[in-house]
Amino acid sequence: MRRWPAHGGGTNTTKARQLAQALLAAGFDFYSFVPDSVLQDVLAALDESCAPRGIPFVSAYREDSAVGMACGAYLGGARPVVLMQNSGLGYSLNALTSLSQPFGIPLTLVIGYRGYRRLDSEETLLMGTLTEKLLAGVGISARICREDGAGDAEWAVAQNDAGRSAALLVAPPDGEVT
Amino acid sequence: MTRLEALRALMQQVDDEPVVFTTGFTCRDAHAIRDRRQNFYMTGSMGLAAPIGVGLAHRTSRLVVVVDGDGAVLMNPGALLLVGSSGLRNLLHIVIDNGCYESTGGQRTDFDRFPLHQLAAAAGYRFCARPGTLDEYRQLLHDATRGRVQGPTLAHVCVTPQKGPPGPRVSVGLQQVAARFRDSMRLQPSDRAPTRGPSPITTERELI
Repeated sequence: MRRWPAHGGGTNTTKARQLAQALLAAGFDFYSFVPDSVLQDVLAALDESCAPRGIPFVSAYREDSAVGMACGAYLGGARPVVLMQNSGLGYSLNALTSLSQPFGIPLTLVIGYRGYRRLDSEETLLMGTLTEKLLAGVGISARICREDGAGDAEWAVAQNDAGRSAALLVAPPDGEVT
Repeated sequence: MTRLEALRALMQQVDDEPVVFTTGFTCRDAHAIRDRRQNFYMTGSMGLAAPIGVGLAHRTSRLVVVVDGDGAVLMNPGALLLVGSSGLRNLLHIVIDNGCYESTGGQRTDFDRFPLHQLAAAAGYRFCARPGTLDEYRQLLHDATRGRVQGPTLAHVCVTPQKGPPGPRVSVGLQQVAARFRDSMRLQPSDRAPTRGPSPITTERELI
């Protein structure tokens, strides 16, 4: 089995910056998150960029609380993003099925895709196979965002504008899985 | 004090302040007492009323009121850390404590074994109150809605079990609840950026 690299396998820093900038340029103005190794560079770029713009970038400690905070921000007029690892989808399921979805609150989820193509450590593999099925079951469109994020943020905005939640799945770069 | 009395006092006090109600009978009773578009009936997702309030309070300068329950706090005690660390001055977190899960048949919570105000103060709430009478509770609501209390504020409201049936289920469709609530939150001329600041962990104060 191939193993996760010691540093955690974050996305390439330049590409992570591009994704973060694409999200900000698309008008997303509230970010709640639970840290994830795959998203570490995206999170770092957002942390750096949000503060000077006065955009909330809030650690939620657990993914269902991150979804709850994003829903509150939306109710206050924001266009929110939730960033999490796919393991956090488990914690989030009740928040998605009984809060954001039935209330028609459109969220954009940026999800670190551990276990993608079963190229990861053992405890991530089952959620890796379930991630897209769970999102589909909840009724959230998902797309895999592997490169610079070009077009992805715009796609998510279009989904949200149509009243639907959207998930951008960020898989670890092949080259970094050793 | 009963839950109904506590909810009635709140609904009498609020003007355009948004209120997030926790799941179960709290939503139903609030809806029956005074339905308004600034009410968010969180009919599911137990434990997430406070996180919703935090997200909301980041977006408005109005006082954001969260009506929680003892069982909901036990389900997601991490929300106390979220509220406390937010430093949001415009957040009032009311925990109506009836000592049981009334909406699911009255199972005990044994909530009194936890020192809630100490937990909240340690988490960073600036003001922790435990009003012992309805009048004290009304005074706290009065002060909070006039900006005289700097949040995050905890109001731990112990109530006696409610007699009689709860209000009917919320009759407003959930998508309508969210849409009209969001409309009610559109910026008004008086709205300013929310005031925030680092949480002074050391400023525990009590109303009584």
